[in-house]
Amino acid sequence: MTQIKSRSQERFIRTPFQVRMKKWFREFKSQIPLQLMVIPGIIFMIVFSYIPIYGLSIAFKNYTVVSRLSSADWVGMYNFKIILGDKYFWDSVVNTLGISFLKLIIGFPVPIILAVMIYEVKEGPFKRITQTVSYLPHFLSWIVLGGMMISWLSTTGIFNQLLMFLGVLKEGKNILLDADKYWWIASLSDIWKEAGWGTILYLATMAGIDPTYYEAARIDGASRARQIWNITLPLITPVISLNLILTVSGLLGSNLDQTFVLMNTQNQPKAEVINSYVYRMGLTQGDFSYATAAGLGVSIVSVILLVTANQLTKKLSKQSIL
Amino acid sequence: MKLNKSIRVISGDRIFSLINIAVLSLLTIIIIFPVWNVVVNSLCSGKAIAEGRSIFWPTELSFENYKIVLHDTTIWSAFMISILKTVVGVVCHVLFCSMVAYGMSKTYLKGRKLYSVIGVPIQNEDGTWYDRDMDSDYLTWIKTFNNAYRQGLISDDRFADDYTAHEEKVKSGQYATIMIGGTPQRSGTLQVWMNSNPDAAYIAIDGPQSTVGHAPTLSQAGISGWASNYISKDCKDPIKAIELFTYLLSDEAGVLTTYGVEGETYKVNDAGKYELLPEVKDMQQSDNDKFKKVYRLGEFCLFGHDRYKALGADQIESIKQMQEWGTGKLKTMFAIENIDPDAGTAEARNLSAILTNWNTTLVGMMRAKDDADFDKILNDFKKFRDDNNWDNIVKVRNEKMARNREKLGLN
Repeated sequence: MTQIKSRSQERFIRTPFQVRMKKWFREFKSQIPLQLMVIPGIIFMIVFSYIPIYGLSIAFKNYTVVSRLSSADWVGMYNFKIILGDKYFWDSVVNTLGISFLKLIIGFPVPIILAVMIYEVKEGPFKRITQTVSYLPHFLSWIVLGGMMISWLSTTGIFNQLLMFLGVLKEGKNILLDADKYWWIASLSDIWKEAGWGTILYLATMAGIDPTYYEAARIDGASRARQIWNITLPLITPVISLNLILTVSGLLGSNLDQTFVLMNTQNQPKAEVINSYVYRMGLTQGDFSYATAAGLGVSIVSVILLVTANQLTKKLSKQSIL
Repeated sequence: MKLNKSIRVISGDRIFSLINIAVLSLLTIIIIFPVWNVVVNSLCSGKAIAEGRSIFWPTELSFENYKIVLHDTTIWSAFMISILKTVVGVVCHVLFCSMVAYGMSKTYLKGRKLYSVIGVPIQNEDGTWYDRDMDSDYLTWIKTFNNAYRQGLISDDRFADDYTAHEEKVKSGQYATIMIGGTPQRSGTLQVWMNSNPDAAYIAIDGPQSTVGHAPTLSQAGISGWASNYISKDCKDPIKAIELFTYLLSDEAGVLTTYGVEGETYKVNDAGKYELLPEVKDMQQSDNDKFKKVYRLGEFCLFGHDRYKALGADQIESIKQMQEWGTGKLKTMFAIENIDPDAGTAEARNLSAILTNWNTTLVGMMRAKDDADFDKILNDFKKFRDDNNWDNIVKVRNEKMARNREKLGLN
């Protein structure tokens, strides 16, 4: 940052080159401790974020495993045309959107409600236990959790055990084989896993609310529900809108880990999401150009979604992140 | 008036707190209960779980599952690998040649085990591609499996097992029957079960047999091996590289990379089989890490071939009977190797969709409610193939088979 600033100042002064260089080095020297802190970060960004962008050119080339990136033939928008006409890609888009919308509609309010409820509990062991337990599933990886879910949803698993215990079912059914239920399984399990973790940001914001607001409200005779509605929620709105913008931009993002462990031959038509489809085309089928083009297309749409969501919230609530 | 109001506020407050705590407790239980159920099930015998008797508390406390896990060396090595990966990070593994995991495209095809045991023909008499999936003998057997399923002999859960779950169940002997395509990569899990249960072992039997009198045709390792090796265009001396490839594929190099040097690491015993010398074998069994550093035998897998393994005196006990069972049943299938459309073509994308649909169809047929359902699933698949330009794929396959035959002199 500092380096860029000093350079731009030089440009306006327009002194001879040597003088400028000398001055530049003198300033640089005086900033060495600061520069040493900044440079590794910049190098890291260049190496891991900017140089790999070159690889995106695969999307516009006919790249195979035996060709080199520099020598592969340019094919223009050919790969994108193929994708637009690929029914299975669109099937995966529908599945991705279906699962993402369920996650958004059900999963977005859950951490907020949970955070408000935890916030309303008095300090003590109950609050601590509730919080710890709600964070627990977040630390299970999808590979581990997926294995657990396969057994929970099996004919002898917890759901069937409970249903048979209650006498609702006579014989266990494997729920994971039912394609029509997959969207619900995927979205609800994700909400179950991440709801507790999602409360952290809200609880941290609530901790910063001035307690005198509540005192004043109580003196005025406001009920607890009133206090939540008129004090807590308005004060965490900036964080809510920030989270909403990020969630909306991630609508086309899909959980590859989750899909991989939960997908089977029977629910595949409803379970294939963009990520798993691109992975299958790119890595197992060796169609790198196709997969890169699909990935690039999805990223572009995601950026558009991010900007749109940001603009909308800016208009509606004067909050924005960009 | 004032007093009344304050009482109302306090009691409303208390009700709010009570409801809040009650709902939160319920949510906490919803989060913790499934995890608790896993702990309970891990402490139960498989029988108690299957009967659904252990939901909240283990009914038949048993540490058997933990014993199996702790005795399983693969888990410890997987654990070590996880640690190493975390500590060392991503290790660059690009060697002098690049390798394409070619096996993926083969294991992808579900149901090929049954083709083999009932000997479904691999090609038409005129050498064109034969549609093995639609073979009537094969479909009769799928229908038989469907009948078994309808009688409750096949659990639905088997169709949801992933590979890890499958391996776990083989290790703990939970399957009554398994259908496997061959012994490679199977000996480990089968051996774990055999070690923990000396009187029980999975054995190969004559299972499904052709209804039209075909002999079994187990597929043998392909002519192109499991890895494709390439020589870089910028290679300074391509002739030398080809010579190295040729050498590595020869019997001499095969023996060298698998058994080492005669007299130093191995000897040929009376039966003409290759045997590692006692001190080498001791090290392999007692200190495998040192063995890997000192001898590095069997590590050169890129050109690996089962043929040299067959020369060895030691066979893994758990698969010995299976290997003997397979003797004489193996058939080469060179004509239908590498006949799928090239990656990146429209045919390859269509085929990928068809194969995915076939997986769904095959399991769907086995789970069909009745004969009408079975036929409907099968006809839907046939229609799906036609909608995806199936004829073009068959054309590509026929062309590639013709090329194979020409190359290998099979005409």
